[in-house]
Amino acid sequence: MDATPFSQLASIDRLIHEPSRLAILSALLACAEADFQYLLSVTGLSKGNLSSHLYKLETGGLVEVTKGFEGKISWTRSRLTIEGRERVEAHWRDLQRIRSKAKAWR
Amino acid sequence: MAELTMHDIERSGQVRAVTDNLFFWQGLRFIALGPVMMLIAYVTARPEMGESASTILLLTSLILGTVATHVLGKVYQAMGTVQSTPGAHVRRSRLKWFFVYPIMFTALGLDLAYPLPVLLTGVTWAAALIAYRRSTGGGRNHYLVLAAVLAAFTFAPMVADLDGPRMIGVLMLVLGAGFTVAAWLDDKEMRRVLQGV
Repeated sequence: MDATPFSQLASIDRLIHEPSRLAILSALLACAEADFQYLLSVTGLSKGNLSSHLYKLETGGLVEVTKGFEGKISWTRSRLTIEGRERVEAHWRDLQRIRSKAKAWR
Repeated sequence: MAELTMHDIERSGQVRAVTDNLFFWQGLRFIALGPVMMLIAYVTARPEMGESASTILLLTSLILGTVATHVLGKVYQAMGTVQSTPGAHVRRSRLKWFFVYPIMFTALGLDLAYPLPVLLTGVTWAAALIAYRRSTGGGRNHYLVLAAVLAAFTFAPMVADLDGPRMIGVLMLVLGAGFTVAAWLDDKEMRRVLQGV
């Protein structure tokens, strides 16, 4: 007998599979890079929480964060690494598969 | 760790679609173009205004529309910026410039020069609007309503006794009003998807 679609959730990438992080990564998947302010807009998180998520994603090798100054104003930009892009795309494929199997299973 | 719900997955999919097409979802940028369309429709329906007065009015409205678009775009500076993926929408741009726009303007030209019992502009512009919605991230069901209204214009020559240019004028008036509302609704829907805006 086929396993339920939910049994596949066990193998899902836990670093990506968190609501705020999935939103951040989905936004980054759709662009070359995004600034910190945009990711705040996407998630509605506080600056501290967003920084913490970005740190985890950077440590996990999914995201590259660059910082700099334009005059006296500092900026922080994030982009997916090559590995990050592949993993997030694969994650989305898994999610779509689980969703369609869940629909068929009902 | 917070559990991911179906709603979170849906929202992340929308975030991806909006980010990929951010410029188009920032509706307030384009809101001034609706009144410009309406003014064009009004002026072209009033030949008694004289050519020079109409030209001045149209040029002024186009300049004001362009300036307003630029100024209203600044509203979105506070929400941050993204840099698009190079070459992400090449196919869409090609289809738009070499297929959709030529068909739209051919239909418009035919309706103005050789009016038929049906208004070709109605059906072709409705189809173009649906293609626009689909190719810029879906959602925004108000475009389906506006497309249905435009499509209904296809049969307008059968029920209204207006010549081609006047019928196009009415269509532009309705489209201008609809465009203004749609641009405002785009902004609202974008703000719903992006929780921190």
